[in-house]
Amino acid sequence: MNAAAARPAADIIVETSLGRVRDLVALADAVIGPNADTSAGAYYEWLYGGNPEGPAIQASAYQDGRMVAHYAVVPLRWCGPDGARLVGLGVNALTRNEAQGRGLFARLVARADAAAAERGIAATYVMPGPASEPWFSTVLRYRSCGELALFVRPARVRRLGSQLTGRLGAMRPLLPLTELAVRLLASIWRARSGRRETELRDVTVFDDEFDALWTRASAGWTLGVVRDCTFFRWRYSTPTRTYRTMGAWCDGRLAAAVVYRAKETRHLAGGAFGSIVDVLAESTVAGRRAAALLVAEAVARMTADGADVTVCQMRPESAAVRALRRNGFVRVPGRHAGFRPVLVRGLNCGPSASGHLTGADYDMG
Amino acid sequence: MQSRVCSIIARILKVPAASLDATSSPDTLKNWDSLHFLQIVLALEEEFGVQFSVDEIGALQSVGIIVEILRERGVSA
Repeated sequence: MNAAAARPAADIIVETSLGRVRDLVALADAVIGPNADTSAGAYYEWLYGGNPEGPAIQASAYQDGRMVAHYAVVPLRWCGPDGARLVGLGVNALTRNEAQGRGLFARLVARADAAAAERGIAATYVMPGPASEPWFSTVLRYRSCGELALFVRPARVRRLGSQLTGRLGAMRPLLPLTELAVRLLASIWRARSGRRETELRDVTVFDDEFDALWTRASAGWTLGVVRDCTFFRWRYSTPTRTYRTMGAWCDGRLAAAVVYRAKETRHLAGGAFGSIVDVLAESTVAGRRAAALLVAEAVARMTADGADVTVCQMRPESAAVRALRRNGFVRVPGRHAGFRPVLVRGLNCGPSASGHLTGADYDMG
Repeated sequence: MQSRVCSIIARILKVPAASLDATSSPDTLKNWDSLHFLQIVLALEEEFGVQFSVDEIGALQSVGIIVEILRERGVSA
């Protein structure tokens, strides 16, 4: 036996059952702190056990009877040049402080990826944070497939300006005028944007109209998670978050849909922010117009719920970015908390591939 | 070979090379965290012209073991 095999750092268990949720919750609370998602057993039952594409492959490391690290691969369908195929999304990379620096994370990823491959999931994608990205892109040999950028739209200029800076001095009297101008321009744009020909409705039932929308929207795409009605039903019915979906119908046809987090404004740098998590539109003039109207409506609703800022993480090459820009969203440059690299293994796609990815494709919950 | 390994680890962890010996490990070096460990792995691969498997990386848990694994890989001092 060689030296590498003789000294395992911890016992690694690879499984698909949900028998260790209690250990997992304790690990997540220790690593990232209590929160609505990873502190709830129902979150794992939904993400690991309730996925229509099959159970998640979990790799967990135990030392002295305690779970010290964890990683999971969630099966999803991915659209590629040869049609849809099963891929894995790497999630919940968790390592206790005292177990770091021992290569445990890389071993868990390798074991989970290998187990996924045995189940027919030969490719994986991740959108890692700054701690795990270097491991994926070096030792684990993942390669870049672009990035998710953060798009931001101030909703209430005056309040945001006051809260964020507090040092506006002579500029302060201009804030009410700026807000008035933004509202006026938004109302003019909405009046001229074909609102009357487009019917916006809340969606609570995802039927074959969403399959048809996905087919029209994704024509020619070579990258992205398949967003058909099965995906919508599962992805946005999580036990730990509340999402709202709106659809836009043109000539009786579902031309676009938007998903946002409802009444869950979070606070960052003194301001409350709401999140648009997905925008899907057919690639027609009507679809683009419908998507822009949906984004405008979602922003208005989140603002009414108290958001000072609306954010959306999206692949900058996505066609849906146009709907964000038409509503005043601007891309935040550089690397920051909202930036995520997209790394893949076993997928034939590069940064210039056509397709669609948003924060909903990695920020599960 | 051990001195070369110690030199790499000392440079990355910013500790005196003289303070390292075969028993130096994550348990004895508080700077030995995840990102520093990755830097150590990549520097060792470059210095000795090897590529470690993921399981080998999981075993690189002290200066002595690193030297032993490098020898098993046929690296000469």
